[in-house]
Amino acid sequence: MGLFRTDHQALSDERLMELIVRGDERAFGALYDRYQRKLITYFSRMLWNDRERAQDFLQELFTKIARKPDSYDPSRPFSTWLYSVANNMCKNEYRREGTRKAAVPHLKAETAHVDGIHGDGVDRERFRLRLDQELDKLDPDQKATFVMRYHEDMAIKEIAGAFGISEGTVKSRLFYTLKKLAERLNEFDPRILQQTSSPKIR
Amino acid sequence: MERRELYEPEDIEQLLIERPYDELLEMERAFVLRHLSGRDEYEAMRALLLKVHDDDAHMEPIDAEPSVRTHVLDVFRAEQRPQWRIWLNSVPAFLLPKEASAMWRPALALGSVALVVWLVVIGTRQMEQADAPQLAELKETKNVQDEKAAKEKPREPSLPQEELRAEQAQSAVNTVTSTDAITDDVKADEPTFTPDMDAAAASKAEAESPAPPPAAEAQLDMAATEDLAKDHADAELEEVTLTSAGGVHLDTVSLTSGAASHLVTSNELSYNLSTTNAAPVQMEQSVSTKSVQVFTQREKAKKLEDRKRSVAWDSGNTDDGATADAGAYIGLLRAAW
Repeated sequence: MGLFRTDHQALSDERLMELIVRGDERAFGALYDRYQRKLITYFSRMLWNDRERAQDFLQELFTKIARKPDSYDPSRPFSTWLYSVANNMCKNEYRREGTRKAAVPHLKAETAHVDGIHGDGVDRERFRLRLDQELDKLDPDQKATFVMRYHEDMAIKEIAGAFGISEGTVKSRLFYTLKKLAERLNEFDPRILQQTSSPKIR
Repeated sequence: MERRELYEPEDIEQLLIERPYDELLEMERAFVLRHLSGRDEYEAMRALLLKVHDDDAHMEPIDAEPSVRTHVLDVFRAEQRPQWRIWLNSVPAFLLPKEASAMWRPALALGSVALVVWLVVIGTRQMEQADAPQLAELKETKNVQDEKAAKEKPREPSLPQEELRAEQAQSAVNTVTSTDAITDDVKADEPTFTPDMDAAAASKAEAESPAPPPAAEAQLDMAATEDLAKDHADAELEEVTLTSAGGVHLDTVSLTSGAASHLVTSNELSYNLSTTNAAPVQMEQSVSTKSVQVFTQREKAKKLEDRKRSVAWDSGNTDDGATADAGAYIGLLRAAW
């Protein structure tokens, strides 16, 4: 209704969704551009670093939004709703491929190529692979909570909204996940590394 | 309790990120030791957390292929094509939206509908008003066409004219019937002049004539000549009646017959006309023609009866009814003498 063209990049997610419900294609494009990187990273981490599958899931998610934009509840923050949908998609994928959930990451870890990476890059790549292995062994909700918090940098409140739980539950879940991972990834503890790398004094 | 409110187990994350174990305050260290086994566990968790943050900072961003964007935009475009489906359960939601700021939509829609209806009504009325003179013109055109058709086929009368004539004939018959009944009533009440009474008086005058009865054959000849004269007069009257156009003014037509000559005046016709509620012009024509025809027929019938009576009287051949009538006439004549 306005005389000037709307700058969709400056609009909030919720406002963009209103425009999408009315059929604004540019709003849909702006929302896709805003979330495609975060979501493909999230799917990639949640789906055993399988980028092709992450890309398929990203396409499926935005196809759902394109077909039924009015399924979004405006009373909820859009990012919360979006990640809840993404998390449910990942859970469904876990159920479909329950047997592969443990097998594929293990296989990938064994076949991971770190030859071309040296120094800190090698350590970082190794740490990433080990972290993914241990994350895949966790409960899907714990894994998703950890990924959302430490990889997607989502606020506790957003995570709580995505899962439909309280913020305290999210903090507690994060605490115990972190404690468990610290026990399993102790080889990357700097103090242990110093002890193993320093020459023994006789 | 205050310390418990400040440091919940889940709040250790903030301490892990900000400070190592050695830099914790006594109060914070006590809180950490309530949930963790000791310094090593705290430092391990802190190292993992920092490593994860460092890993994410160095991680290359992942972008989806452009084909994904194109595909989802195509899907969105396809879904946004206008689909003229109106679900019934969406009507109340449209008319009564939850948000007051969205009320302008149903208001605009209903206002538009009302405006369209008003425009249609106004337009229809104007069309009707504009159509009225056109109908008159069409009627004139129809008359012209009828005239053309009449010129082309002058011998074949148009159907409406035939119908009009048939209606006029029917109404005339009804009128004559009613006028006859009224006339009979009037005859019974007062001695007004009517064609029937006039004819009867003429026949009686003939019957009461004091002329000596001639021979039967001579009388028959005379009666035959009189009949011929009367028939001739009746034929003339019928010709005048049939050839008269429009209203027939019978006061100008004289029935020149020997015994039953009578002049039908317009007053008689108007009297008969007044007893009926017919249209003046049509009734004047119908009453005049029909009444004259009925009058002539009755005249003929009475003349034939009189002729039979006179012949029977003269010949002495007496029927029962004729003898009784003759006896009554003779009695009257004697009383008169």
